[in-house]
Amino acid sequence: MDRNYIDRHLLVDRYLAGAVPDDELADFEERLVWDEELIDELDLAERLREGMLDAARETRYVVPTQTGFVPRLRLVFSNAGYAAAASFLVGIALSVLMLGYRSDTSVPEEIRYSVNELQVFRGAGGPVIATTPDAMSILRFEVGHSFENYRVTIQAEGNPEPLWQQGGLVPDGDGMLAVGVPGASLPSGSYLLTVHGVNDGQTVLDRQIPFAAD
Amino acid sequence: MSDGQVIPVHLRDQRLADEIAAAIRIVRAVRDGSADAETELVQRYSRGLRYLIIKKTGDDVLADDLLQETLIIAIKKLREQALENPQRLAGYLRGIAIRVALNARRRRSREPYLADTAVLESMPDHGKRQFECVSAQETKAAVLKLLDSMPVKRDREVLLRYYVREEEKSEICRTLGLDSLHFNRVLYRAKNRFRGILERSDEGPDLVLE
Repeated sequence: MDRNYIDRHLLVDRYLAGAVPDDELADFEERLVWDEELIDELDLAERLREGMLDAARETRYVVPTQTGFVPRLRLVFSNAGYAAAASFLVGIALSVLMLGYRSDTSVPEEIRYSVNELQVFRGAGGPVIATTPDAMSILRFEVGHSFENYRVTIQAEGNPEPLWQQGGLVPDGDGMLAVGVPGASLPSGSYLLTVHGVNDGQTVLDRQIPFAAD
Repeated sequence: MSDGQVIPVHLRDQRLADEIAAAIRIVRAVRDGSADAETELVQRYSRGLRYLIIKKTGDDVLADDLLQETLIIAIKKLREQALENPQRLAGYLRGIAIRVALNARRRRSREPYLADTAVLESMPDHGKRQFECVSAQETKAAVLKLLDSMPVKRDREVLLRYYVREEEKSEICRTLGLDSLHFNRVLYRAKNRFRGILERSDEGPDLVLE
């Protein structure tokens, strides 16, 4: 794969977003095995992406108005410190909705999400969650307080490529972790959620939770 | 060259041509028992393989072990048998790295395996990322500086919608009335500017959040 092709098709950014199709992926990765400039570009683009997400949380540069609630929710959940608090807020919002409270100002019309508790019972297999492409799936699961922070990775069955990943997450007071994953990333199928705990920079496998999306 | 003739990729991309030549030379020399060639292989491909392994496993701590395993397997095989396409050495190494990463995921428990001292010694320290000294706070400050320095509001919107909202390029182009080349230029210029800001901050702490 030559450089022009990579630049023309924005493969660096698409690779980081996990959006390079299989037929291009092998060639792209073959190049990155030897091309240190390409690795530098990937590093740079990753920093730009991370920095943009951080900057977008500031009021100074607001994400364009059509962004809506779901991407903003993703922003919140992609931040380490906000994950637990956000799950609490989502809980409140859900309670309000369930109580039948109606207010044009407090509950935007475009709120679309589902909260799923991932509980594993011995011998019962993984939980099954319902997802829709245009809604955020909020996954909550227990991790305890053994580590300073946690990294969560979700992979589709049979595919080693991480489908979704977020590090630096901290649990809430009940030892529960909550992550928000776009429903479009979780079509019907089987998945594996892997939790790594981090202490003093050391990463240790904490638990793995298989689940299915329906 | 006459019109319509396809120019081979390696003639359009000098660095790719250099890689092909190096790969063929390394494969032959390793097969002939050259320890120098093995060292060159390790040094040339370690950084990329490590990056790839981290992407596949999401585990940068385990990556060094898996990288070593990958290189040991590759070198042993290359000593024993010739590659059908030596110019695709990087692709061959990628295949091994992906299998090693997959097996590691299946294995889960980290059984120790015998370390190859020669490989260990020749493995360069490629753990560091570019601009390692730049913190997350400084990265954010660099992004804000970048956005501040962009005179055209529409260009800022391109970045926000592409990186934050993760909208498709085609959708952004359609709604903002941009063509594909213009979109690519906005991203290219932004990255270059961002690199410049980071390079300056890597030299000294001049990026402070307001």
